[in-house]
Amino acid sequence: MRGLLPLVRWVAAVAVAAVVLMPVVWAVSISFKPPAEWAAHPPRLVPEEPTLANYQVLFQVGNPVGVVAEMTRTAEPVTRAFITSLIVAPLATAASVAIGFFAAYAVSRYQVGGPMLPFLALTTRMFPPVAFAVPLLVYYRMLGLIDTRLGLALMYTGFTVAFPLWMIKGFIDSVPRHVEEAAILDGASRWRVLFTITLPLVKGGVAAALLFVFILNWTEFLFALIFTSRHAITLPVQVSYYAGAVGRFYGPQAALGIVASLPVVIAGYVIQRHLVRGFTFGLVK
Amino acid sequence: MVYWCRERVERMAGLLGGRIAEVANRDSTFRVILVAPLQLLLWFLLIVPTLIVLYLSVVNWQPIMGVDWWQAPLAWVGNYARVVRDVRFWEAMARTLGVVVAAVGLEFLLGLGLALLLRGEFLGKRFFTSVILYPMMLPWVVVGLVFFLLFLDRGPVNYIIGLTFGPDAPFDWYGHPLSALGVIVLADVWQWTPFMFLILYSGLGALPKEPQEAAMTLGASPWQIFRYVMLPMLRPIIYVAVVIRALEAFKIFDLVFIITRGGPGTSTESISLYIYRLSAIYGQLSYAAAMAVLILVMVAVLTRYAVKPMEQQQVPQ
Amino acid sequence: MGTELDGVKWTRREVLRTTVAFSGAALASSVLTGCRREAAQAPTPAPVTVAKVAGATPEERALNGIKALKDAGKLKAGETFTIMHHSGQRNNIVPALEEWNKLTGLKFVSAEIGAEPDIYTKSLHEAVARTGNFDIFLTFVNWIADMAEAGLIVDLTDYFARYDPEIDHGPNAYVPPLDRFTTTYKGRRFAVGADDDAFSCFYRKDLMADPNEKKRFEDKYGRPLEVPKTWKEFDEWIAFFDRPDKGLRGAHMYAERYFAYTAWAARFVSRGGAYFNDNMDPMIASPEGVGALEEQVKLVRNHMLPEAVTGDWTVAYSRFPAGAVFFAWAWPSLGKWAEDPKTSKIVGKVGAMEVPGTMHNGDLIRAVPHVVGWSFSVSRYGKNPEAAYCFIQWFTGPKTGLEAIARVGTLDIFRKPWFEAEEMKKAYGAELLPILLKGTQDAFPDLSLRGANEYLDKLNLNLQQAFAGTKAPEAALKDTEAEWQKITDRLGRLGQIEAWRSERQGYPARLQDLWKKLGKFPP
Repeated sequence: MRGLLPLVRWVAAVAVAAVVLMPVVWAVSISFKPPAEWAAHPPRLVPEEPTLANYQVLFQVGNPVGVVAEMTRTAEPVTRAFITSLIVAPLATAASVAIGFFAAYAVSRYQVGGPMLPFLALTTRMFPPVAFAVPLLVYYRMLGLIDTRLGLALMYTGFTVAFPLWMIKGFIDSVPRHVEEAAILDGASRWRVLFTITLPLVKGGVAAALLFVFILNWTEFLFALIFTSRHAITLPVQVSYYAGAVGRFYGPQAALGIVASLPVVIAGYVIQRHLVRGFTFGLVK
Repeated sequence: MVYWCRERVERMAGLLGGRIAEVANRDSTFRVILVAPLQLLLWFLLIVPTLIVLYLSVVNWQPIMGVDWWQAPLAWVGNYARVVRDVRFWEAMARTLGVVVAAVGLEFLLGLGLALLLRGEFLGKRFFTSVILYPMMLPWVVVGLVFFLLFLDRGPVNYIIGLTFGPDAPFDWYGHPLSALGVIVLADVWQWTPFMFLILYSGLGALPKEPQEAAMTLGASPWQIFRYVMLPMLRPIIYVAVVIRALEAFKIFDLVFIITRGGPGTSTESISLYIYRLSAIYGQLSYAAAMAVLILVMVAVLTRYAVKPMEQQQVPQ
Repeated sequence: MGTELDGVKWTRREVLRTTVAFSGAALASSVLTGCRREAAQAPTPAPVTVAKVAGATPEERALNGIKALKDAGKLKAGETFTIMHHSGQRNNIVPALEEWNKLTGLKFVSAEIGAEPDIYTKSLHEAVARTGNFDIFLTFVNWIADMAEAGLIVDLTDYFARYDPEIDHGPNAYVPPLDRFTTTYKGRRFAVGADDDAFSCFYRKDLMADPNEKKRFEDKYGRPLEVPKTWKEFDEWIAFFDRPDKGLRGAHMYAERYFAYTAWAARFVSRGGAYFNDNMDPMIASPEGVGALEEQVKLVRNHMLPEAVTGDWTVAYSRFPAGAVFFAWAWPSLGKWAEDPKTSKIVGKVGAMEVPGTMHNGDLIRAVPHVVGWSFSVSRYGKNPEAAYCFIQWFTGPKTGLEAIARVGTLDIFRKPWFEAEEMKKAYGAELLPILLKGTQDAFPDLSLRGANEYLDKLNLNLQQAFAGTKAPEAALKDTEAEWQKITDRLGRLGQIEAWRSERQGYPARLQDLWKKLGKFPP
């Protein structure tokens, strides 16, 4: 039984991975197909005439063929949207998690603001954001923040801060207080305790929050669409460009989706090993 | 002279720094500094738009009425009364809640299962973790279009069904509300189980090992350890994961928008899609604002009850 | 437009502003001043005599206009103008922008949007937020009413007089009735049409030419196998070619969430139906409407792929070129798509035909829905509306327009002489052009009242239920009528009546005659 367990687990993991990957494989397959095969019947996993055209149109390299090329020949290359996303998403993520972490600590340890404060933060996620779009737009017009990266980053910070607050609060709640109290009795300042004792203990939660918030910011579409027009276009908005009125460009959309997911995959891979180094690591001190 | 100056400046800076550090270390200041950024951010960002939303919800205004928004005629509670009588609203509400229960329930079970499955070290663990996390990293447009194409009448899924069960077996997935919602739930589960997995996995990793080891030496079975030792300790994190996911799933829009567009008719329309149509397509900003306020109130009440046990649960010592 | 007195407005605004200033909220005050709409309600003051701009062609006059504006110091070189348009039009617009910028020394740039409904949303947002980030909009023609009523776009009537875009007269005119209904709202010019979106019909001419099929058809229906002229013949024809066992379905016609109304409307209007009477009471649950819907439902349920109801509109662009359906109902662009070997398996087998009609006492009346119809309009909050208008006139001009429209993109041919041009014959195929021309002459405007989006959405969601078999045709139309009454009352019936009476003047003359014969709009 003992010897069999790892094998069973491994087989199960492979099965899960296969199920998870199936739609991804299909997206990858579409991204290498010419237009005629995107929704072809009978469907084929391996493209009959594989093509790189869908990727080429993204960056305007080479000379892709056919209607896709004609339609997207004058397209803005994705580079600028990519850069905007690479600025806005990490900035907003860092700010959101930092602010959320501090607040989570205050709420968990001192009940600052009573139960209402975390709840208030959570209300930002309790209604469909589209209903908030026009009022925010009017407000942003007053502030002159429309179509700026700063404005977008600020908004993303505000609308995601509830997540790190709640996620990290859950982790801090389960850290026994006596660990911190002991350090304070030893003469450490509160800040020192916060950064050297508590933070390592809840590292897993912080990492999870970072990853999740980064994904949200990286893929956010509605606000990016509404609050930008030319200068601060982000990747998800650019993905939507490949839905022309002459056929939705499934190929370039899938290709761009896959390209756009790469930074997140890298971020995920980096963050991954911090996910489970919580308690044990911290107690060694 | 120069030395003296520098020394003095340094001493002053040191004093000042020390003073700042001392003030910052005071319990009262410490708390304020911790929450100030959050407070500032939320108030700065939300207060004016919230006032505008509340204002809009009590007037009767559409941009195409040809009056400026601050001159719109008052409707008092007219919009709210209209929401309460709106059948399409309540249908969408019920449908959305159904999707939330189904999707979040499945995501929790699957996420917990996966988190347990991937505990400890084994060959290829980092690879499997990456694979499991991947779906939520894709832009929603892509998730939507892939599932839309997969379950199209002449798409791959029906093709495989046709090959396996004969040519009459393929099913018109989007033609019936239940199966169409099923596809939407499936896509949501596929995309967001990774989130549950992410939180529960890191939560499991943060649990202290001693109680488990103690239980094991006392001869508890793995199930007993899980049920009576790990699960209670994991509870705050489970609450957070489920509440956050449920709030997000309640706003489900992207997948519905791409996969069924709410059709046939309004039979798969989610509450977010309805509000989107109202505000962005019909331009009924006042009515949409009233609806959003009502939703906020309802969801807030529900959430309040959902997070209650969590507050009592605090600081397990 | 609204009829408020300027004085009243001023006092109210003044009061508001004073109050706000007293309470110290300087920010709120800046929104009032920033968003002030000076002339939104007041009609543009008509100059006593419109000074005409010199120049032999619309393009020349547009360029001269820019020159005059520059000379008068109203326009600086290198000034940036932004055009909001759909991604599908990049190839039509962007090369033209480069040329225009070279000619004028201005900087016109494109801001594209990927999904059509978002264009509407973003323009209405601009009407509220007034950022001035956009100077020109290229939108569906039936959104023009909303944009005009929201005070977003400029009345172009005077510019038409001053610059003469040659839209409704002369050898370069638009195909009538496009000249009317792609430019006017309530009798004033608010837009410049840049597109012809008369619906088109495509079928498999290789199957029609098969002698066996010809014989079988004649045996079955007692008449030779020909392209059908009436909707009745059409239904038999589709049923005949529906071969599910051979992987070929009869037709693909939109029955989905957004364009379900197109085929129904073609039948309905050709029967002499009209959306409203002159009191804005809906008339779609009439015998014409119900009969048309019953026929169409039968066709959809029996002879189409389920995807017609549940797919999106791109399905036509994948199934017809793949040879999975015998007939397809779509925009003219499907013709280009089906003749391109990169996207199609049926190259050389595509026939184009006129939209079928209905017989009225020996007269065949065809009614062709004109849906989408991209049209330019000018933002009131932009830098210089007149310069923006000049670009539009230049772009849609007889010569620059010909080049721009012949490029692959979602804008389609709209000036009459272009139907003879070699570039267009090459772009569309010589066979489609004469049919498209005839179809355009029979085109009736998409519902273009204020709130058109909502009217049509309510119609579509009911029709889709009828096509999915979850609602009886008559009930679907009755429910729509009830919803429509509510919309009309909410938006103000009087204004809608004015707009509808003006809109129905844009219908082709033959349809208006038919209405008269049927006694539809008693004076």
